[in-house]
Amino acid sequence: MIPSRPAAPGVAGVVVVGASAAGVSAAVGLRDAGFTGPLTVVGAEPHPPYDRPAVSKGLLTDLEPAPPPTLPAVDAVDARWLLGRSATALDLASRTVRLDDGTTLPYDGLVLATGAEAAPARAGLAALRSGVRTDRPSTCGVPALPSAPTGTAGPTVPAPTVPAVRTLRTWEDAAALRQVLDAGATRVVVVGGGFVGTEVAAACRRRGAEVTLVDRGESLLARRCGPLVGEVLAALHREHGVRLALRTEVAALRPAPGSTRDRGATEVVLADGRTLLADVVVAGLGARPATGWLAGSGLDVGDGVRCDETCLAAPGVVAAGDLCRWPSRTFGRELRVEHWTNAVEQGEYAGRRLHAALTGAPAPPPYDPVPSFWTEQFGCLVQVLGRPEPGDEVRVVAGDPRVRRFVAVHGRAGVVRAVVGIDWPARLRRLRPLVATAAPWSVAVVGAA
Amino acid sequence: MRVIVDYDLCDSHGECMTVAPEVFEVRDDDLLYVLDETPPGTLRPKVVAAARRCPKLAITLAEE
Repeated sequence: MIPSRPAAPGVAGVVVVGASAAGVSAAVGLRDAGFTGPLTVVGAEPHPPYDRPAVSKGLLTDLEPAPPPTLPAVDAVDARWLLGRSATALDLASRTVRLDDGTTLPYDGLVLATGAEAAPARAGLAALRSGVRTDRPSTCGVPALPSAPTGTAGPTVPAPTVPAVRTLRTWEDAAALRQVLDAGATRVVVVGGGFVGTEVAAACRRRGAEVTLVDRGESLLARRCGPLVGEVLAALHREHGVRLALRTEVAALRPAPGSTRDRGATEVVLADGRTLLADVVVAGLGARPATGWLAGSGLDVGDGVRCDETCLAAPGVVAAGDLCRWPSRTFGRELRVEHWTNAVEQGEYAGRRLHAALTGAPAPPPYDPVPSFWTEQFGCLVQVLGRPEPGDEVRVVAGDPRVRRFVAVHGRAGVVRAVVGIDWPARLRRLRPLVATAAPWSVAVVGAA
Repeated sequence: MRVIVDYDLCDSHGECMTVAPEVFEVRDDDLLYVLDETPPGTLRPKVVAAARRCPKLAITLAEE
């Protein structure tokens, strides 16, 4: 465990880098713990922390495009907000953070909460990687965007135009997608059957668009929620008219015949040879922790910022949320959790932890949550407590997947590692202790039924 | 303080129950019951934490 630095808070105070759920929660945790010094929260987005889960759900169908709903915690916490600014470097030796506007912020305590960024289009779209953009056109249809000129000698020949692929992380991303849908885009291809992909597919379908969802797996969300949930979701999507292209991936994108430089459809060529026509292509290919700005800082940033079991990354530095990798006692391994409830819970914990470090107080007990996440699609509530993995033993302990109401337990190496359920929140929550205590599998499946 | 739940938003996720079981209970009918709408001050930290944890932001507190 990294020893905490015993010292009274100085004039510099605490800087929180990252102004979403984890950042504001850390601010709350700090103040609740008794911190009265200066507190500055820096965020790259122009908005105060908002309800990010709504980005792939309600915003596409119900919520007004602007402004995003600010989290109540923002008004409850005494802090200075520097929004629309990105941190570009961290200097642990001088305890300073540099921002993109040239400002240098000194700190006594630092919270790292910059979250994650939507993964760029990758191998399946490799041929177009350099040309794939995430611009936000205002007209219906996919714009033909010229990529940079190629070649080093002779006349410049423009490269073939390449359609834009959208990702979805921010309120602006969702507002732009919604604008395109409102303007009449009817053919939507979604790449990736994870949380964002399935939620976007469901929301677009609810709006009456023709939707095709492409994924390399055999069903939807199976990697994160298990095969039972995966099969139910796949059936649900099909019943609601989402076309599923499973066990395949996108091999190429190109402007459809008849497209012009400025507007037109996109041909999405799949690895299995089929071709789809799209007015808009959305990629939900996962997220990467936003550690780029920490390169060279000296912190261990392979797959998130590495922390000890109290979320401490270095003396006087804690991390929380999508960005944080820490050893879980319950799971006996490092975790990095990209979900809302963890951002809130870990943010609060990290704030308390940092306060202890600043005052020389004993650290709180290790951070050892039961990860919790959910998704809602076509009126179905899917919940997961714990950490399912492919290859788990899975046993239904209540209900029946065929009627889309059930609870199942996941086991790994003889221990319960997750409880998953559809439309049965009470039953699911009653089994939470099985995960929290890493209950033996054999005992659990007998007792849980 | 008074605990207010917006039942149009509440989907009975039950995170509140995990944080503050003295105040929130999702029963076998899958509905959320607020066990005490005006909990004692000692429960304030838990109730406030429950409101922050709610996935639907369905819980608010009115100061009275």
